[in-house]
Amino acid sequence: MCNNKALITSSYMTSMEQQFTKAYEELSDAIFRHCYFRIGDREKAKDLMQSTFIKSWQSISQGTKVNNLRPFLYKVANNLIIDEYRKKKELSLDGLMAEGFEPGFDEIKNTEQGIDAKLVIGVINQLDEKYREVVLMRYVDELSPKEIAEITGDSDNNISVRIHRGIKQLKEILEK
Amino acid sequence: MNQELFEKSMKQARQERLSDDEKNAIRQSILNFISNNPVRIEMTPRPNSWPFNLIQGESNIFSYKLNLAATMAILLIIAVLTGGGVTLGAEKSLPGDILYPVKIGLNEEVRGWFSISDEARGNWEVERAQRRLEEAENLASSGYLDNETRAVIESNFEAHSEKVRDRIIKFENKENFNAAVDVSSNFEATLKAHEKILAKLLEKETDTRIRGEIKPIGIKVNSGVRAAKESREKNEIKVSGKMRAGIEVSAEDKLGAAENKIEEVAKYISSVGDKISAKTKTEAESKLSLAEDVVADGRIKLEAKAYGDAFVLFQKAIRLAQESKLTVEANQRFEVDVHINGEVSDDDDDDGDRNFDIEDNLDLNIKDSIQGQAGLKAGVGL
Repeated sequence: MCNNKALITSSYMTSMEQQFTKAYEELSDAIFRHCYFRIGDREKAKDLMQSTFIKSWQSISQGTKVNNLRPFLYKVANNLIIDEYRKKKELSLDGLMAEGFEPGFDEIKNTEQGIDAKLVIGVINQLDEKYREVVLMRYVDELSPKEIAEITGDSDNNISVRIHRGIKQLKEILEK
Repeated sequence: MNQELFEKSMKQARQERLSDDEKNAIRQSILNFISNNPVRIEMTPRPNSWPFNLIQGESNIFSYKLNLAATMAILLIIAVLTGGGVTLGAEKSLPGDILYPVKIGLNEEVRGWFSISDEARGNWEVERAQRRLEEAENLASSGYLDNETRAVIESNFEAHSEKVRDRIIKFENKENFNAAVDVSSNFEATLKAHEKILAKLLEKETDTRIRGEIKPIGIKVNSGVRAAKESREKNEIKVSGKMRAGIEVSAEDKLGAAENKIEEVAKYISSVGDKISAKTKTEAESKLSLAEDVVADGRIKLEAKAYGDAFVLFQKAIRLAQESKLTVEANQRFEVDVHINGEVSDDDDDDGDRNFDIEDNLDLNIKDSIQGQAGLKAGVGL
């Protein structure tokens, strides 16, 4: 019986592995970005992205029921980011400021072609965390309010309101 | 707020990504972890112990549904006999085969679960509908299409079509008309090709019993083609709304998609070489050439900043390329030469192929009124 189990598991698993690897190809950059703009540390963001996929697989392989992988991965990533915050609070903006960087509207406006990622992080990190999360998910990760709601566990309406207020706050930051 | 600055910042943020080396290194770590932590399957399963909505999926659409314990017991026996290639073997199963529930209830559900975007999910349902039609065609050509297998296929085909329709409506509600056009256009091209294949099989078939089973499916497909076309045209008009934000980017993205599709199909035609008839090859190449012409027209529109019109033309080129590919596939599978018209219209029967039109409905009603009416009423509407 044990051998039979192994045979079925082997066949089933191969298909699962292939699909999960495909998901990695399609979503790893997005999850990495999400972590990077929340944490502000590229190397740490890489670690978090890797942990996100590993923990997700661990969870799936142990029987967690998943209907849609993308929100599931974001949810895992968010939990890891929260843990990271607890370990090391408000790293990014403080870190950048310590390096002599003070982001502002004029500085970004004066940047001709490419806006450096650090500039964007600098501005986004001035947002309250509750707004930063949803603004990033909406405009960088391009998730719908419904998908964001699924990730955070809030209602669609609540998310829409937070996005609106987040943009309003961003406006105030940019106009300083 | 400076809207342009905001959008530029967000665009910059979206461009941030890992290098190939970084991505490969992390992929390797994840693969190592996966190989050391395989999926565990409970051998005395209850519905909630499965990782996904599989056999007990969210919709009760599968007439061949077995309870999970029974399915697992069968899988065990087959695993012993086949050496474990259960899910792979199931891929080629047909209604009536013991592995068929594994194909539609497990393999396809798992694949759908990994479809990332809403658009991919919509197109995956299109592919599932296509797989049901291929099953019907395989059964018909081998003489095994009967009342029971046809009923299973029809029921599942309708369920997939319904999901495609729901997905398109969701796109429309979100004003994501690009996605609505993409999915309905793909559905239209797919159904159109299969309508022609079924018509060819009907033409060749001499067994009246099998002919009687092919017809109701053909009628449903015909109805689906027209509904998909209507949906596609309706949403194309909305995409063409010249003032819609982001249409320029959408048109450029669609150009890239059309070029990729044409390249993919050209390689495919070249790879099958002489395995297809000369007539089919000429037909497929001519359709692909038409797709290239349409892309050229689209480029002119793009340069003239008529982005909505360009988008529609690029989508049409994708559809033509897809039809070209399906023409080749049909010839490989059944050795039939299928001619698919570029556009479907009420008088779209000038190529001599037999379609499942109103005449067929009447014909069917006379021969078998119950069956014929069921076919008419259950036509797939979008």
